[in-house]
Amino acid sequence: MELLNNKKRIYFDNSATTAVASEVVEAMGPYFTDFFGNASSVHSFGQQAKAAMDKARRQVAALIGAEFNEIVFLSGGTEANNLAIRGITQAYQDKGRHIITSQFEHPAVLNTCASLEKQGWQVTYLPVYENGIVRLEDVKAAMTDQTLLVTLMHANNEIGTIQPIAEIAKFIKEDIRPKRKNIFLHTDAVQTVGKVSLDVKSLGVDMLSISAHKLHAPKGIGALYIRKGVRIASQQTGGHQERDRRAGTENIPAIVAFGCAAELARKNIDTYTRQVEPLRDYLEQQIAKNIPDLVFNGDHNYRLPNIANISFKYVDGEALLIALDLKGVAVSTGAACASGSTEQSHVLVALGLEKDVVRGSLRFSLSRYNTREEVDYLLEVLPAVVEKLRRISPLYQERLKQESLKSQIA
Amino acid sequence: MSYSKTFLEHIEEPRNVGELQPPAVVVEVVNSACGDRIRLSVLVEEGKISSVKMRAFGCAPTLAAASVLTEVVKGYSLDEANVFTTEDLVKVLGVLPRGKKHAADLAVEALHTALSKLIV
Repeated sequence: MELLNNKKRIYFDNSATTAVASEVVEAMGPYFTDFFGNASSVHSFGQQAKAAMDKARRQVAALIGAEFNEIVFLSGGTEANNLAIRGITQAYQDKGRHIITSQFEHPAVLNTCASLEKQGWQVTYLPVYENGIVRLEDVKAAMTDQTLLVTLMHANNEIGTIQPIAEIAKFIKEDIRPKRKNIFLHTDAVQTVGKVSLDVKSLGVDMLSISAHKLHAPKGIGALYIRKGVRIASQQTGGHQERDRRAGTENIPAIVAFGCAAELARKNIDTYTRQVEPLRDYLEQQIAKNIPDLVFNGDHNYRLPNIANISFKYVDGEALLIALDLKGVAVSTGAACASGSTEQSHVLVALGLEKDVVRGSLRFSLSRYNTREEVDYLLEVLPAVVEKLRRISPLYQERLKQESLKSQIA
Repeated sequence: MSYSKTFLEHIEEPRNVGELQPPAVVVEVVNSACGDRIRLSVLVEEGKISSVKMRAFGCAPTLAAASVLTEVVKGYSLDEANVFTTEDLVKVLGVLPRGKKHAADLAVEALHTALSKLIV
């Protein structure tokens, strides 16, 4: 974009993807050129690759408190969710044909569940209420003697709300499992891992999905944690890689990168509470102070430290996004207009928000690389951009008219 | 998808924002599918469009289409304005992303609705 030349560029869309950390780029480099072996090969090239992969597996396992053999490397969050849901339902299909999930999962979960519905599975989509949090009592009420899998995201990708996974795990462990051994809990933790300290054992889940590119590693790599003792049916046929759970030659440079990023994330996890969360709070407070007619979406107590989701009433989120992009600031929106119909965010719709609130929503998602100066720059340009769009908006003019009528009557 | 320079300039600085008083004609058209709306004011003097103002709510293409329209049709005779089409507007806007032609449709619909009110 020509207009962007010579302008600041600031990235507040870290829930979409993150910049690869320079340490990570450095770590993976030699695995393209010097240590390029196939981890299945017996010679020294292969063994070097295998050793690097083992180290990365330990690093990723350490980040979430898993054991070495409980980590399966694969292509990313979408594949992890597919392998978890399809793999478990296929492996235990004679043990039950019912899945519990929520209305605001990522499409990788929702569409996988929908495809299983076509194959005869029953799926319950739990409500998430205005605060964007699933309720344990709804999980209890949805449970049947056919329920095989509960799959709920750990934190929502658009509003950042954290789900009561540990409580649900405790309920399953204490109330269901004594009666029925084959019930499993999967969580899509793509947004959480690396931002909030997380331990699979104390969380009590059977499977957990991770995407590396959300934590400063490259795209195309991720992992599924599968608790020891849980069987899954591999979804592609081929070699014996990943202990027969994911066939295909391992992507060693990406795996090394993932391992390095996981270790950096583990070491930097406090940065999120010390640095990113206060920055996000500052961003929200200043926006609230300087711009009227806002709605803050999602629960404010149980949420990720790096996401703010705010609706700017009387403007369209996509127009706002493009206007901000012209100022060099990248954010995302829950309103995407296509072919003359606005495809609204299923997440914000699930919260029961009014149409125009969904329409004006923006998500700001920070990383440990964002600075106070960057937030200040946003705060400098955003009020004027919103004001400009509102000045054009006939909806806003209506609001102003109504207000002046009201004040005349008063 | 990257937008044209003209498109981006109009998003950054929308032209002719506002509303005209009578005898100008003011119309508001809404895309019922997505809720986008354009309010267009047109003043015709001596058979020519002498002044145009707009307000718009919706995605960036809708805002840009309304803004560009106000610049293009100013000075048009009624005959010229009557045969002005979506394609003419898209030519000025530059390429629109797939599925966004409706934005230009809406702007042209606003113009033609305003003209129909004038003639009656």
